[in-house]
Amino acid sequence: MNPLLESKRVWLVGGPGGVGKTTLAASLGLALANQGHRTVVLTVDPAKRLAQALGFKGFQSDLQKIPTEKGELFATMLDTERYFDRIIEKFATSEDQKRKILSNPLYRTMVGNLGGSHEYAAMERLLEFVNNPSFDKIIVDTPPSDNARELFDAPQRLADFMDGSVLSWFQGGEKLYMRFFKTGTRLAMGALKLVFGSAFLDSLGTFLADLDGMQVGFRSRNLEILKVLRSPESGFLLVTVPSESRALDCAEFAATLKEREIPLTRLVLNRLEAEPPASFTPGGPLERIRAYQQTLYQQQNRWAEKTIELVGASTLSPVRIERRDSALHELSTLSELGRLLVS
Amino acid sequence: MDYLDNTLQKRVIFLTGKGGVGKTTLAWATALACHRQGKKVAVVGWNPSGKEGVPTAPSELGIPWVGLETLAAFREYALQIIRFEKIYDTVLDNRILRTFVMAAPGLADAVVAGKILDLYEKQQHDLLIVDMPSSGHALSFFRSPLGLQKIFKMGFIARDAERVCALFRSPDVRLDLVATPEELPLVECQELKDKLTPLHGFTFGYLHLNQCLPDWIRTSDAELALVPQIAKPLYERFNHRWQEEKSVSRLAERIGMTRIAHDRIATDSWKTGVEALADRLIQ
Repeated sequence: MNPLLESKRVWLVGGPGGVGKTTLAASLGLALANQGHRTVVLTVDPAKRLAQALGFKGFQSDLQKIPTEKGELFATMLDTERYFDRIIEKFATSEDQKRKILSNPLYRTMVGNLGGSHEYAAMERLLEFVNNPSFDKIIVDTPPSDNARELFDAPQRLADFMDGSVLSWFQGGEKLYMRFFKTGTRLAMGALKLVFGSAFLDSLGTFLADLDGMQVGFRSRNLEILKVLRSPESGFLLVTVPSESRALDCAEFAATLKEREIPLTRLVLNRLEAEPPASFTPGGPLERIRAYQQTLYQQQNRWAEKTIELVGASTLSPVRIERRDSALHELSTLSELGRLLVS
Repeated sequence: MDYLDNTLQKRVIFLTGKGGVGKTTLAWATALACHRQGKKVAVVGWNPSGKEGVPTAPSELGIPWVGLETLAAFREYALQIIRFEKIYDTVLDNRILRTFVMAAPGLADAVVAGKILDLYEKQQHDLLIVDMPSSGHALSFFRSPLGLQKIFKMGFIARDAERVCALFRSPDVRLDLVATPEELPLVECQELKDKLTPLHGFTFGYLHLNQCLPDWIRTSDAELALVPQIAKPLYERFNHRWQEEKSVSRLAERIGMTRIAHDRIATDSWKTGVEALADRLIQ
C-alpha cells in the first residue's frame, strides 16, 4: 500500500453519476478494514445502493456491521429527514422549541424537499465521524448531485438560509427583514407579499422565530468541513468512466476542488474496455464484433487521456480498473478492488 | 416507429432516470428525429452553463436549447406579477432573496417548473424535450408544486403551483424513464415509478433501455471454435455480457411501461452518436 495514501483518514469518493462510486467506496472500506482499521462507509443515496453493492438488503441509518477478515467495517445510510430531526433535537434550547419546530409544517416540507439537504446532512455526518476518535478511516460516498458545485455549494446555501444573519431579518416581533430593504419598505413589502403572499411570509416569520437561539448549530460548519477536506489527512477520489461528456464533468469537478483548495488525490478510470488482440483480424461477422470492441476501446482511451489532461491528473498516476463481467457482490472481489485504489 | 409517432403527438416529454444512463444523448436524438419530421422542437435542460453533458454546442445539431436557471426563471416569474423591472431589481434582487429562492423548500424547483409551463403555453415550440436531472432531483422537482401548495395555501404561487400540476397530468405531456440494462439503474427506475405514480396522474410513456449490446454481438459455439485462443476472451465476454443484459432486463418488465431498447453505438464523438441514434428512431 502506498504509504502516502495509507496515512489518509478521510476519503471522499466523487464523480459523475453512474460510474460506480458507491461500489468503489464500499471496496475501499473493505480493503482498509481488512488491513485492521476500524472503518466506516457513509452513503447518502436513498436508493440503498451501498447495501446492494455489499450484498445487503434494506439496511438503515444506524451503523451496520459488515463481516470482514480483519478490522471492523461499518456502513451507514443517511436518512436525511431523521438526521435533521436529530440536529434540531440536539440544538433546541428547550423542549417547547423542539416540539414547535418538529411539528411545524414548513419544517416538515423543508427537510423532505429542500435542495441540498442531502449534501448538507452528508457533510454534517462526516464531521461527526471525524470528531469521533474511535474511527480510523472514514469513507464518504458523495450524494448524486447534479454537478460538482452542488456538492459543496448546497450545504453552504442551506447554512446561509439558516444562518443567524438571515434569520435576524425575519426574527423578532418587529420583523427586521423590512429594514433590510433600503428602498421603500412599504414597496418592498408590497412586492414580497404580491409574490409570496402575506400568509406565507407570516408563517415563515413564525418558523424562523421558532428557530431563535439555534443558529449556532448551522453557522460556520462550512469552514469546519473545508478544513477537514483540505487537511493532508483527507483524500479525494475522482471516479469516472471515460467518455466525452464525463470528461467535461470531471474537468468541472477538478475546477471546483481547486477553487476550494481541496487537493485531488486520485483519478480512477473505471470500467475500462479491454483492448482486442491486434494479431487477430478475422473476416465477416467476427470482424464486425472485433471492430466494435476496437472502437469502444479507442474512444474510451481517447477520452481517458483527455480526462487526465483536463483534470490535470497526469502526475497523480491514475488508477485504471478494467470492466468486470458480472455484478460485484463478492466481498473478496470488492476488497481486491479497494486495494487497487490505494496501491 | 411507435415511439416517434407517439412523441410527435405530444407537447412535452420529460426524460429522467439514474445518472450516467444517457438521458442527454437520448433527449437530443429524440429532438433531432422530431426536428427531421418537421417539428419545431427544443431541448430543455438544467445546467445553466450548458456544459455538463452537452459537449457539442447544441447549435451544431440545429436545435434550440433552453437552459433552466433558477434565479433567471424567478426574475421572469416575479416580473409577471410585479411588472416593473426597476422595482424587482431594487427590491427583490438582493442576497436574502437569492438565498431564499435557492434554499426555500422546493421553490427553486417550482420556479423552474413554472418556466416549463410558460414555454408550453407560449407555444413557440411544437415540442419540448426536457432533459431532467437524475432520479432523486427529478422526484423533488415533481413534488415541488405539491409542497408549495401546502405552504403557500393561497396567492400567486399556490395558484401557479396548481397550474403546474395541471400541466403534469395533461395528456399533452409524457414522462419517460431511462435505464441501461443493468440492475441498479433498473431498480432505480422501479423505485422512481412507484414514487411518481401517486403524485399527479402522469402519462407514463416509455422505459428506455439504453446502450444495449446489439444482438449481432453474439458468437455461436461453432464460430467460437474457429477463433484462436488469444482472441477467444473478446467473443466470450461479449456473449456473457449480452446474456447478462438479457437476464437483468427482465427487471424492466415489472416496471409496467412500454419498453424500447436502443443499441449502444460505437462512434467517434457524442454528436455522431446522437445523429446515429436519431436515424434509428426514424427508421
